[in-house]
Amino acid sequence: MDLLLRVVILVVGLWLFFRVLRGHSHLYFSGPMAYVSAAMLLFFISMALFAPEISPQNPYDLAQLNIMDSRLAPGSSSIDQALVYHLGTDDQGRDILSGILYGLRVSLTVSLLATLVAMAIGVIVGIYAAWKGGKTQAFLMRLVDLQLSFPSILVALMLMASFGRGVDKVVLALVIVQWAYYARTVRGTALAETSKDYIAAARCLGFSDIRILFHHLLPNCMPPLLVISTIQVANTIVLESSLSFLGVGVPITNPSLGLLISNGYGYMLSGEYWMSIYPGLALLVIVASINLVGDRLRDAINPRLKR
Amino acid sequence: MSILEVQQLQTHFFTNSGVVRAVDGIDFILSEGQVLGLVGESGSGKSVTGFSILRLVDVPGRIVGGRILFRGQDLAALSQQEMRAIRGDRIAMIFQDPLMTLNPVLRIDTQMIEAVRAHHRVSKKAALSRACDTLTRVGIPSARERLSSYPHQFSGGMRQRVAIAIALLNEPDLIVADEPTTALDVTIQSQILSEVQGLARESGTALIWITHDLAVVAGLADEIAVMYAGRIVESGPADAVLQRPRHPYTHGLLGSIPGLSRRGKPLQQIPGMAPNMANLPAGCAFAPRCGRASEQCHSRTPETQALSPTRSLRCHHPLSEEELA
Repeated sequence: MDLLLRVVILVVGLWLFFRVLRGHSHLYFSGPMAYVSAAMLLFFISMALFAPEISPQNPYDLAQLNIMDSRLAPGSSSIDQALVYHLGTDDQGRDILSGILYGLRVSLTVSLLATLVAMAIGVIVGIYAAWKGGKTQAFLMRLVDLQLSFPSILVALMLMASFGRGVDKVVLALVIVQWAYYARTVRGTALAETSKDYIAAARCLGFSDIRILFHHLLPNCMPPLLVISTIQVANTIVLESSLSFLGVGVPITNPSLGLLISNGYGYMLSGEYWMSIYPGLALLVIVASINLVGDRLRDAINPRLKR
Repeated sequence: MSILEVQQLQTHFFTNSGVVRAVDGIDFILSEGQVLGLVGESGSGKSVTGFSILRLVDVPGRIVGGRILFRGQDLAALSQQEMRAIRGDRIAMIFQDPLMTLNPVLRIDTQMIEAVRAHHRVSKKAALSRACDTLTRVGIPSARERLSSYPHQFSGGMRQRVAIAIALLNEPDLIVADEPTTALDVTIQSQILSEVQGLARESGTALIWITHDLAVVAGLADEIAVMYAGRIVESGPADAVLQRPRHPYTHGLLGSIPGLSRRGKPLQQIPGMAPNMANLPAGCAFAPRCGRASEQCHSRTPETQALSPTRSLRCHHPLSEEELA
C-alpha cells in the first residue's frame, strides 16, 4: 500500500512535469545539460521515494546496527560479512549510503513543503497588495521590508530556538522567513501587469475581481515567480541543512543531509572524511540539478521568451 | 429607439495639482445601429467619456454628475455587481493597442470561452463554437485552427480582429471603440473599418468610435461629436459637420488634414497647444487659440445652442454659411 502510494506520487510528478511542458518539450530538451539535469533530479527523487526498498539497511532501526561496524572506511564489509558499506559508516555503525537516501527524503520533503506554502502565502499577499494599492499596499510591503531586512538564517535560528526541534517546526520557520520574497516579487510584476490594457479589457468583459486576479494577472506574474521558486527550493534545502548542521533543525531521529554532514564533521580532521563528504556531495548535486531544471523550465514554458 | 442617452456627464480627476475636469457636462444620444464618431485631440476627454460609460474610471477619477441612460436604465446608479453583468455582455469595448489587450499567456480559445461563460450559462463546447463563428465573421481564416494559438502568434491586424471578435461575442447592444485602428497600417485599417461597419449594420449594434482621425469617421460615422477640453463643441450628422463645420475648432481640424487638392499650399494648423486641463482659461477653452475670439469669449463660456434638431454648437462666433461657401 505504502509502496503503491509512492509509485503514484512519482507518476503524478512526472505527468505534471510533462503536462507543464506540453508542446514545449522540444524547447526544454534542446541540449545535453537538460537531459543530464532532468535525469539527475529524477534519479535523486526516486532514490528518496524508494529509500526503504533500495537502501542496504534502515539506519534508524537500532536492531540493524552494530556498534562494532562504526567508522568503517568506504568499501569495507560489516563484521558479520552480511553487507558491504560502499560509502563507509558513521560513529554509530550506520551505513552512510543508507543515511544519505533517508536524509534526502527529509531534505526534499521539508524544502518542497516550505516552498509551496511560502509561495502560496507570498503570492496572495503580493497580488492583493498590488490590486488594492494605497494604505493596504503600503502596510503589507513595509511588513515585507521588515521581514527581509533581517538575514533569513538569523530569523530562522531564532524561530527554531523558540520552537524547538521538529520537522513541522522547520517547515514553519522556513515559511516565515521566505514568504516575503514571493510577496515582493509578485507585487512588483503584478503592479506592472495591472496597468496593461488586457487587465482593463478583462474588466470591460465584466469578469469578477477574483477571476481577473488569479486567472489573468497571476499567470502573467508566473515567469519571475518560477525563477525565484526554483532558486528558493534549492535555497531552502541549503537553509534547512544549515539549521540542522547548527543543531536546531530536524530531530536527531530523522536526520536530513545537513544533520548527516554535521554528525561527521567532528571526524573530518582525523581523516575519516566519508561521513561528511558524501552527504555534502549529494547536497551539492541535488541543489545544482534543481537549479538547472528550473532554469531550463522557465526558458521553455515562457511564451514571451519564444522566438 | 435610443440605446444610449448621456446627459450632462461629468467625470473629474482629483489630483494633487487640482481638479481636472476631463469630461465636463456632455450630452449625446445614440440610437440602435448608429455609429457616433467622437473626435478630438489627445487629452480632450474622449477616452474618459468611453470609460465613464463602462464605469471603469480609475482613481483619482470619479463620475461626479450626470446620467448615463442605457436602454432607459441609469448606469451611473447601478451597483458594481449589476454593472459587471452589463460590461462585456450588453456593452463591450475595443482598445487602441491590439498588442496589449489580449492576455499574452492565455490561448485565444481560453479567453473567448471565458468571455462567453462570464455572462451565459453555456457548455464549453457551445462557447467554443460561438467563438469560432465570431472569429470567422471578423475575417480570420481557418478560425478553428487559430483558436488554439497564443496572441503572440498573430499579427497586429489579426490581433485587433480577435479583440473585435471578443467584443462581438455576446452580441452587445453597444460597442465603445477607443481608437481601435490607430495602431494599424492604412490598408488593414480600412479593411477593419468596413468589416466593423458591416457587422454593426447586420446586428444592429450601436458604436461609439473614439478617434482623432477625421478621415476614419468620415467614412464610418453617422453622427459626429467634436470634443475640446472635456466638452462637446459641435455635433451633428457626419456629412453636415464635415462639409459645413461651424465651430472654428472643427474648421481648424479639417483644415489641418493634408489633402491631394491642396498640394503645395502650406497646411493651416491650429496655433498653440491643447490647454492644461487642470488649469483651463476662463470663458471658452478654445478662445486663446481661436482667430475669431472676442472679449466675450475670454469671459463667458458659450452655451450649447441648437442649430437644427440634429445639430448643436457651442460658440459665440460660429462661422456663417457665407464664410463657408
